[in-house]
Amino acid sequence: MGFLQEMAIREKRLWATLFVDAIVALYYFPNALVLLMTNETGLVSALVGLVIKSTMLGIVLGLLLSLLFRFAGAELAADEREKRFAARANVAGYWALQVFAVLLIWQLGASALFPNFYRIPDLSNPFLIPHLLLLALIVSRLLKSGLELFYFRRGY
Amino acid sequence: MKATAIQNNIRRLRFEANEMSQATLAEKIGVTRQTLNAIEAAKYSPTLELAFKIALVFGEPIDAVFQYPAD
Repeated sequence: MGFLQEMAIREKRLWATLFVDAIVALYYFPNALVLLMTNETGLVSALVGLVIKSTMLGIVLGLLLSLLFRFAGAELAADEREKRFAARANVAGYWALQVFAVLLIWQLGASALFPNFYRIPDLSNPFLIPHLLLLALIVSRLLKSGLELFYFRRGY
Repeated sequence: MKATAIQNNIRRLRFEANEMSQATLAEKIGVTRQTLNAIEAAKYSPTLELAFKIALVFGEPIDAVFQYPAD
Protein backbone atom coordinates (compact mmCIF):
# COMPACT_ATOMS: atom_id res chain seq x y z
CA MET A 1 0.00 0.00 0.00
CA GLY A 2 1.79 3.09 -1.30
CA PHE A 3 0.03 5.66 0.85
CA LEU A 4 1.23 3.87 3.99
CA GLN A 5 4.85 4.06 2.82
CA GLU A 6 4.48 7.80 2.20
CA MET A 7 3.25 8.45 5.77
CA ALA A 8 5.64 9.44 8.55
CA ILE A 9 5.84 6.93 11.41
CA ARG A 10 4.30 9.42 13.81
CA GLU A 11 1.38 10.01 11.47
CA LYS A 12 0.72 6.27 11.28
CA ARG A 13 0.81 6.06 15.06
CA LEU A 14 -1.64 8.97 15.30
CA TRP A 15 -4.09 7.27 12.93
CA ALA A 16 -3.83 4.12 15.05
CA THR A 17 -4.38 6.06 18.31
CA LEU A 18 -7.36 7.93 16.87
CA PHE A 19 -8.92 4.74 15.52
CA VAL A 20 -8.44 2.73 18.73
CA ASP A 21 -9.71 5.57 20.95
CA ALA A 22 -12.78 6.09 18.77
CA ILE A 23 -13.68 2.39 18.58
CA VAL A 24 -13.18 1.82 22.32
CA ALA A 25 -15.23 4.95 23.16
CA LEU A 26 -17.99 3.89 20.77
CA TYR A 27 -18.06 0.49 22.44
CA TYR A 28 -17.76 1.64 26.06
CA PHE A 29 -19.99 4.70 26.40
CA PRO A 30 -23.29 3.39 24.88
CA ASN A 31 -22.95 0.20 26.97
CA ALA A 32 -22.05 2.18 30.11
CA LEU A 33 -25.00 4.52 29.52
CA VAL A 34 -27.39 1.58 29.34
CA LEU A 35 -25.94 0.18 32.59
CA LEU A 36 -26.13 3.55 34.35
CA MET A 37 -29.74 4.10 33.28
CA THR A 38 -30.89 0.68 34.44
CA ASN A 39 -29.00 1.18 37.74
CA GLU A 40 -29.47 -2.41 38.83
CA THR A 41 -27.95 -4.04 41.91
CA GLY A 42 -25.07 -5.65 40.00
CA LEU A 43 -23.99 -2.32 38.49
CA VAL A 44 -20.46 -2.34 39.88
CA SER A 45 -19.58 -5.81 38.61
CA ALA A 46 -21.21 -5.04 35.24
CA LEU A 47 -19.17 -1.84 34.91
CA VAL A 48 -15.96 -3.66 35.89
CA GLY A 49 -16.71 -6.29 33.24
CA LEU A 50 -17.31 -3.58 30.66
CA VAL A 51 -14.03 -1.84 31.56
CA ILE A 52 -12.13 -5.15 31.19
CA LYS A 53 -13.76 -5.88 27.82
CA SER A 54 -13.04 -2.34 26.57
CA THR A 55 -9.41 -2.58 27.69
CA MET A 56 -9.00 -5.92 25.91
CA LEU A 57 -10.59 -4.46 22.78
CA GLY A 58 -8.14 -1.54 22.88
CA ILE A 59 -5.14 -3.86 23.32
CA VAL A 60 -6.17 -6.19 20.48
CA LEU A 61 -6.92 -3.32 18.11
CA GLY A 62 -3.61 -1.65 19.02
CA LEU A 63 -1.67 -4.84 18.30
CA LEU A 64 -3.44 -5.37 14.97
CA LEU A 65 -2.77 -1.81 13.85
CA SER A 66 0.83 -2.10 15.02
CA LEU A 67 1.24 -5.11 12.71
CA LEU A 68 -0.54 -3.36 9.84
CA PHE A 69 1.42 -0.12 10.08
CA ARG A 70 4.65 -1.90 11.12
CA PHE A 71 5.65 0.84 13.55
CA ALA A 72 6.53 -1.48 16.42
CA GLY A 73 10.10 -0.74 17.45
CA ALA A 74 10.43 2.04 14.85
CA GLU A 75 12.17 5.31 15.66
CA LEU A 76 9.47 7.66 16.96
CA ALA A 77 11.57 10.71 17.85
CA ALA A 78 9.79 13.82 16.63
CA ASP A 79 11.51 16.55 14.68
CA GLU A 80 10.80 20.25 15.24
CA ARG A 81 7.87 20.42 12.81
CA GLU A 82 6.19 17.39 14.37
CA LYS A 83 6.75 18.79 17.86
CA ARG A 84 5.06 22.01 16.73
CA PHE A 85 2.05 20.04 15.48
CA ALA A 86 1.86 18.15 18.79
CA ALA A 87 2.09 21.40 20.79
CA ARG A 88 -0.72 23.06 18.81
CA ALA A 89 -2.91 19.96 19.15
CA ASN A 90 -2.17 19.74 22.88
CA VAL A 91 -3.38 23.31 23.36
CA ALA A 92 -6.65 22.51 21.59
CA GLY A 93 -7.11 19.33 23.62
CA TYR A 94 -6.42 21.23 26.84
CA TRP A 95 -9.00 23.90 25.97
CA ALA A 96 -11.63 21.27 25.16
CA LEU A 97 -10.98 19.62 28.52
CA GLN A 98 -11.14 22.94 30.34
CA VAL A 99 -14.39 24.00 28.68
CA PHE A 100 -15.98 20.65 29.52
CA ALA A 101 -14.79 20.86 33.14
CA VAL A 102 -16.16 24.41 33.53
CA LEU A 103 -19.52 23.35 32.05
CA LEU A 104 -19.68 20.38 34.40
CA ILE A 105 -18.82 22.48 37.47
CA TRP A 106 -21.42 25.04 36.41
CA GLN A 107 -24.08 22.35 36.03
CA LEU A 108 -23.23 20.80 39.39
CA GLY A 109 -23.25 24.17 41.15
CA ALA A 110 -26.40 25.35 39.43
CA SER A 111 -28.26 22.12 40.10
CA ALA A 112 -27.38 22.46 43.81
CA LEU A 113 -28.32 26.16 44.03
CA PHE A 114 -31.36 26.13 41.72
CA PRO A 115 -32.67 22.57 41.78
CA ASN A 116 -35.92 23.56 40.08
CA PHE A 117 -34.16 25.02 37.00
CA TYR A 118 -30.97 22.98 36.57
CA ARG A 119 -30.92 19.25 36.95
CA ILE A 120 -28.53 16.54 35.85
CA PRO A 121 -30.60 13.38 35.60
CA ASP A 122 -29.89 10.86 38.32
CA LEU A 123 -27.17 12.90 40.03
CA SER A 124 -27.38 10.49 42.93
CA ASN A 125 -25.67 7.83 40.83
CA PRO A 126 -22.01 7.94 41.97
CA PHE A 127 -20.79 6.71 38.57
CA LEU A 128 -22.31 9.54 36.53
CA ILE A 129 -19.75 12.28 37.23
CA PRO A 130 -16.70 10.00 36.69
CA HIS A 131 -18.21 8.92 33.38
CA LEU A 132 -18.79 12.51 32.30
CA LEU A 133 -15.16 13.31 33.17
CA LEU A 134 -14.01 10.20 31.29
CA LEU A 135 -16.04 11.33 28.29
CA ALA A 136 -14.36 14.75 28.48
CA LEU A 137 -10.93 13.08 28.52
CA ILE A 138 -11.77 10.93 25.50
CA VAL A 139 -13.22 13.87 23.54
CA SER A 140 -10.12 15.90 24.37
CA ARG A 141 -7.84 13.04 23.23
CA LEU A 142 -9.78 12.53 20.00
CA LEU A 143 -9.62 16.25 19.28
CA LYS A 144 -5.87 16.30 19.94
CA SER A 145 -5.17 13.31 17.68
CA GLY A 146 -7.53 14.57 14.98
CA LEU A 147 -6.04 18.05 14.94
CA GLU A 148 -2.47 16.72 14.86
CA LEU A 149 -3.43 14.52 11.90
CA PHE A 150 -4.98 17.53 10.19
CA TYR A 151 -1.66 19.39 10.51
CA PHE A 152 0.23 16.36 9.18
CA ARG A 153 -2.09 16.11 6.16
CA ARG A 154 -1.90 19.87 5.52
CA GLY A 155 1.88 19.66 5.67
CA TYR A 156 2.69 22.76 7.75
CA MET B 1 -2.06 26.56 0.69
CA LYS B 2 -0.40 29.76 1.84
CA ALA B 3 3.38 29.63 1.43
CA THR B 4 5.68 31.15 4.05
CA ALA B 5 7.60 34.31 3.20
CA ILE B 6 10.99 32.59 3.49
CA GLN B 7 12.16 31.24 0.15
CA ASN B 8 14.92 28.69 -0.39
CA ASN B 9 17.20 27.09 -2.97
CA ILE B 10 17.30 23.63 -1.41
CA ARG B 11 15.97 21.88 -4.48
CA ARG B 12 18.66 23.42 -6.74
CA LEU B 13 21.39 22.78 -4.16
CA ARG B 14 20.35 19.13 -3.85
CA PHE B 15 20.47 18.79 -7.62
CA GLU B 16 23.96 20.32 -7.70
CA ALA B 17 25.11 18.00 -4.90
CA ASN B 18 25.03 14.89 -7.12
CA GLU B 19 21.22 14.91 -7.12
CA MET B 20 21.03 14.25 -3.40
CA SER B 21 17.66 12.76 -2.48
CA GLN B 22 15.29 14.35 0.03
CA ALA B 23 15.62 11.24 2.20
CA THR B 24 19.43 11.56 2.32
CA LEU B 25 19.36 15.25 3.20
CA ALA B 26 16.61 14.67 5.77
CA GLU B 27 18.71 11.99 7.45
CA LYS B 28 21.78 14.26 7.51
CA ILE B 29 19.90 17.06 9.27
CA GLY B 30 17.84 14.80 11.53
CA VAL B 31 14.29 15.38 10.30
CA THR B 32 11.72 13.28 8.46
CA ARG B 33 11.51 13.39 4.67
CA GLN B 34 8.02 14.90 5.04
CA THR B 35 9.43 17.80 7.07
CA LEU B 36 12.19 18.44 4.53
CA ASN B 37 9.58 18.37 1.78
CA ALA B 38 7.53 21.01 3.65
CA ILE B 39 10.63 23.21 4.07
CA GLU B 40 11.62 22.83 0.41
CA ALA B 41 8.09 23.74 -0.71
CA ALA B 42 8.25 26.84 1.55
CA LYS B 43 5.24 25.59 3.54
CA TYR B 44 7.19 25.40 6.77
CA SER B 45 9.89 27.78 8.05
CA PRO B 46 12.64 25.88 9.86
CA THR B 47 14.23 27.08 13.09
CA LEU B 48 17.50 28.95 12.77
CA GLU B 49 19.39 25.88 14.00
CA LEU B 50 17.88 23.64 11.34
CA ALA B 51 18.49 26.27 8.67
CA PHE B 52 22.18 26.36 9.62
CA LYS B 53 22.35 22.56 9.53
CA ILE B 54 20.98 22.57 5.96
CA ALA B 55 23.46 25.26 4.90
CA LEU B 56 26.33 23.29 6.48
CA VAL B 57 25.42 20.14 4.50
CA PHE B 58 25.80 22.09 1.26
CA GLY B 59 28.83 24.05 2.51
CA GLU B 60 27.08 27.33 1.71
CA PRO B 61 26.39 30.45 3.81
CA ILE B 62 22.85 30.50 5.14
CA ASP B 63 21.77 33.38 2.88
CA ALA B 64 22.69 31.28 -0.15
CA VAL B 65 20.13 28.72 0.98
CA PHE B 66 17.35 30.85 2.49
CA GLN B 67 16.13 34.28 1.41
CA TYR B 68 13.64 36.65 2.96
CA PRO B 69 12.25 38.95 0.24
CA ALA B 70 12.39 42.62 1.23
CA ASP B 71 8.85 43.48 0.02
